[in-house]
Amino acid sequence: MTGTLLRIEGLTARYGTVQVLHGVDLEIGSDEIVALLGPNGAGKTTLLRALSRVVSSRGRMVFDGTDISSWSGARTATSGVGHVPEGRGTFVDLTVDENLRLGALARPRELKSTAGADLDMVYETFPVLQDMRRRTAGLLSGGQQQMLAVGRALMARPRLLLIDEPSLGLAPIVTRQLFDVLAQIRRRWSVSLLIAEQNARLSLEIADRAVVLAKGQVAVSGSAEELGYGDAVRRAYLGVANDEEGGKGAGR
Amino acid sequence: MRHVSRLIPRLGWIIALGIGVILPLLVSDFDLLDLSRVLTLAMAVAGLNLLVGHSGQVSVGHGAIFGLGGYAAMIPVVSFGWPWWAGVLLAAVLSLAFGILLGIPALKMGGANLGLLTIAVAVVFPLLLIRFQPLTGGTFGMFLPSPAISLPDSGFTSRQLEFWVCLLALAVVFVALRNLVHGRLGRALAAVRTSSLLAAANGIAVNRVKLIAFAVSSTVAGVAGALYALVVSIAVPDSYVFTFSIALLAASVIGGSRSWAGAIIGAAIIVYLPTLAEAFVGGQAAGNWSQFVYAAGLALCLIVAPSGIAGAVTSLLGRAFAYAPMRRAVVERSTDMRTTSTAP
Amino acid sequence: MTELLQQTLDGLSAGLIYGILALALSVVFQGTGMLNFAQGEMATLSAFVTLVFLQFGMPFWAVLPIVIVLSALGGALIERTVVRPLERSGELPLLTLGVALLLGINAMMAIIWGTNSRPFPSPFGQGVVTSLGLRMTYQQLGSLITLLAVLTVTILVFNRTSIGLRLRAVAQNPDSATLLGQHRGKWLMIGWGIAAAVGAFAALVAAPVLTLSPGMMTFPLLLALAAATLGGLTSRVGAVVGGLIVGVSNSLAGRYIPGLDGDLAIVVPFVITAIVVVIKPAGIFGKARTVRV
Ligand SMILES: Nc1ncnc2c1ncn2[C@@H]1O[C@H](COP(=O)(O)OP(=O)(O)OP(=O)(O)O)[C@@H](O)[C@H]1O
Ligand SMILES: [Mg+2]
Repeated sequence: MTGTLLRIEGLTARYGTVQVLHGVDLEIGSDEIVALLGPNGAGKTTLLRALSRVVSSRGRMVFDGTDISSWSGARTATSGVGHVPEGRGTFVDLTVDENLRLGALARPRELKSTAGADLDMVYETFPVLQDMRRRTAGLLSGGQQQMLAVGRALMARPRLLLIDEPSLGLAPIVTRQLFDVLAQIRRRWSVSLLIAEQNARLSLEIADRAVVLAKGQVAVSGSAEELGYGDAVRRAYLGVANDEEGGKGAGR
Repeated sequence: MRHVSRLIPRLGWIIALGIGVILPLLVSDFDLLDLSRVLTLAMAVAGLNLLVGHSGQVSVGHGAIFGLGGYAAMIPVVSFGWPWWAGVLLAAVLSLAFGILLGIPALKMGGANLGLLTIAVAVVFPLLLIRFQPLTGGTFGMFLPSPAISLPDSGFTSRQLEFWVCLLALAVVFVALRNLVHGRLGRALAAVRTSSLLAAANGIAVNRVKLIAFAVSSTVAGVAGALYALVVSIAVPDSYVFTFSIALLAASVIGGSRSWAGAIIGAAIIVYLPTLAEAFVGGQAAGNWSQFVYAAGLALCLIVAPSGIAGAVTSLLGRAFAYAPMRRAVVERSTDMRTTSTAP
Repeated sequence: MTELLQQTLDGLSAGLIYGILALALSVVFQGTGMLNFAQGEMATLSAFVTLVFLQFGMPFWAVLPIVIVLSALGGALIERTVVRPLERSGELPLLTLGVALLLGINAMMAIIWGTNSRPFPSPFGQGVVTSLGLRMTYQQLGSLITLLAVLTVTILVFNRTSIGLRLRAVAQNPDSATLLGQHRGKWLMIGWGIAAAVGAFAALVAAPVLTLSPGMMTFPLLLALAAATLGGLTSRVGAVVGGLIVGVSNSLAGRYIPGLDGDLAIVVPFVITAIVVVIKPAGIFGKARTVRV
C-alpha cells in the first residue's frame, strides 16, 4: 500500500436504540482492494452507509487527510467517496445514459470537463451498457443493473468506491465476470475498493486484504492470502459466532 | 395497574353519557341546537374515523353522503308527511346503498384514486341537488315548517328531545363502531392498513373488508346527516359543498382519527369555531377568519400532534398513568425510522 | 361541423389550463408523493399579487417575471416550512396537509381581498380572430401560445437539463440520489418552486375570463386532479394530455349531452377518468411501479 486513504477509529452506529456497530477500526490504502466479509446482519451495510454519511455514527473518520465525520451525505458523495448500494439503487425510469450522467453530476468541480472521456471509458469497461444506452434502466437484467451501478458510481470519479454485495442475485458466471472487471477497475480508474460480500472465496481472490466483521466488530483482519489459505475466514465466521452463542447460552 | 388504566376511559364515557342525559334540563334551547349539531357531526366524523384511522382509506366526499342522508330524510318528511324516524331509516338505507355503489369501483382503483372519486362526488352532489329542483327544492332546498321530533304532551321541548335522540344515536354508533374495530373486522382492517399485500397473503379478503368499512362509514354519515337536517330544519345545497366535505376530513384528523372522543372534539371545532371567530371579528370576515384558524390548526396538528388532539391528550394521560404503552412504542419506532434514513 | 370544431377548440384552450395545473400537480406528486389540493389556490394567490402590482401602474409584461419568481419562492417556502416535517409520514397526512393549505390560502385571500369577483385585465387586449369559420378571442389565442410555451419549457427542463435529471432522480430513488451527492430536500424544494411557477401561469391566463376571486381555481383544480389521474400522475406528458381530454370532453358534453349544460358537464370528464382508472389504475401514461402510496 502506498499510503492511507481512509482511516476510521472507534466507529459506532445505531438505529434508534439498537446499536449495530460497536467500535470499528479500519484502514484502507490508496489503490487497495479490501474485502469486507461477515455473516448476515454483521453490520457491513451499516458500515458502508456510515462511511457515506447516510447513517449517523460516532467515531473518527479521516478520508484523504480530512475528518469527514461531520459531513453530509451529499458532500461526501461529491468529495470522492462513491457508493454502489445494496440492491443497486437503479433509477429505473431513467435511461442507461441518464443514469450514468447522473453519476457525473457528483464529480469534483475540477474534473467536470473530463466527464465525456470517462463516459467512454465506462462503456469500454462495460460494453453491454453501450448497446443499451437508450434503454430504460429498469428493463436491464440484474447483472446489467449491477454493472450500471458500478459505472454510475465511477462517473463521479471517486477515490474510494464502496460496493455493497455486488454478487447479490447474480448467476455464478456473471459474478465471476463482474469480479474480474472490479479487479481491473482499480488501475484504470485509480480507485480503492471496499467490497462488502458474502462470497468470501471470490472476494479474497481479487482483494489485497480482508476484514471480517461479526456482530458489529472487527473479528479478524489480515492479508487475503493469510485469510484465504489458512481457511481462517471460515473459522472466524463460525468460531466467533459459536463462542458468542455459547456464552449467551451459559448466561441464560 | 393494568385494569385500572382500562377502567379510566370506560368510566369517563359513562360520566360523559350521564352528563349528556341531564344536559338538556340545564341549558337553553338555543345552546341545545348547537350541541345537537355537534353530536350529529361527531357521528359523521366517527364514521370517517373508521375509514381514515382504521382502514387507511380516504374519503373527501363524506360531506355529500351527509347531505344525501339529509335530503333522504327531509324529502319524505317535508313532502310526504312521513314520521321523522322513517326518514332516518330511509337515509340509512340509501346511504348504505350509495356506499356500496361507490365503494366497488373505488376499490378497483385504490390509493389516491379513491380520493379522486370521492372528490368528484363531493363536487357533483350540490350541482345535482340544484338540478333536481322539483324533488329537492333547488337552490332554496327543503325547509321543515315545524320541528319533526316532538312529543306535544310530554312537557319536553323539541330541542330537548332532539338532543336525546342524537345522544342515543351517537352512543349506539360509538358502541357499534368500537365493537367493530375490536372484533374480527377490526383485526382484518388493521392488517390491511399495515400492508394489504401481507393481509391478502394471510387469507384476508382485502377488498371485501375495505368495502364493508366504506359501506358502514357511509351509512353512519348518512344517518348523521339525516338527524342533522331534521334538527336544523333545513337542507340546502350550499351546506353540502366541497369545502364541507374537506372540513369533515379535517375534523377527523384534528380530533384524532383513531379516537372516538376525537370525533366529538373535531365536530365541536366545526360548530363552535365560527361562533368564536365572530366574537373577535364581526360579520362576513368571521367566516374567513374561522376558516383560516381552522386551516392553521389543522396544519399545526398534523405536524406536532399527528394522532390528533385526542391522541395527544391520551398519550399525555398515558404518560401520567402508564396507559397505552403499545401506542407509544409504535410512535417511537416510526420516528426512529425517520432519523436513521437522513444524514445527521 | 364548424360548431363541433369550435366547441373542441374552446375545450382545448380550457383543457390546456387544466393540463398546466395538472403538470404542476404531477411535479409535486412525483417528488413529494403528495396530491397538492392547494395548487389551485396557490395559483390564484399569484394572480392576486399580479393585480396588486398592476394597480401600481406597472405594465403586465414587467410584472409577469416578478410574479413568477415570487410564486416559485412561495412554493419553495411552503415545501420547506410545512411539507418537510411531514415528508415521510405517508399519504394521508400529506393529503390532509393539502386540504389545510387549500383552506388556509383561500381564507387568507378572502380576508385580504374579499370574496367578490374582480375584473382582471387581459394582457392580450380585446379582439377576435376569425379563420375558417372558427373564432378565437385574442385572450384565448394568447393564452394558448403562452401555455404551450410554458409547457415546452417545462418538459425541456425536465428531460434535457441536469436540473431536470436531478429532479427526476430524487423523485424516483431518493436514497440512491443521496449517494450521488443530491440533496433530497433541496430538490424537493426546487420541485415545489417549479410547480408553483408553472401553476401561476394557469391562473394568470384564466383570471381575465373567469374574473378573479379566491375560489376562482377550485373548479379548474378539480378538473386538473381528474386530468392528472386520467393521464397518469407520474407522467408529465400524461398530465397535459389528460388536461386536454378533460377540457374537450367537458366542453362537448356541456353542448351536446342533454341535461348536462352548465356546471353539471363536469360529470363527464370524471366518468371518463373513472373508467380509465378502473382499466388502468396508473392512468394512461402512468407507471404503476413508481406510484408511491
Ligand atoms: N434501517 C434499519 N433500522 C433498524 N435496524 C436496522 C436497519 N438496517 C439494518 N438494521 C439492523 O442492523 C443490523 C446490521 O444490518 P446490516 O444491514 O448492516 O447487516 P449486513 O452485514 O449488511 O447484512 P447482510 O449481509 O444481510 O446484508 C441488523 O441486525 C439489522 O437488523
Ligand atoms: Mg448488507
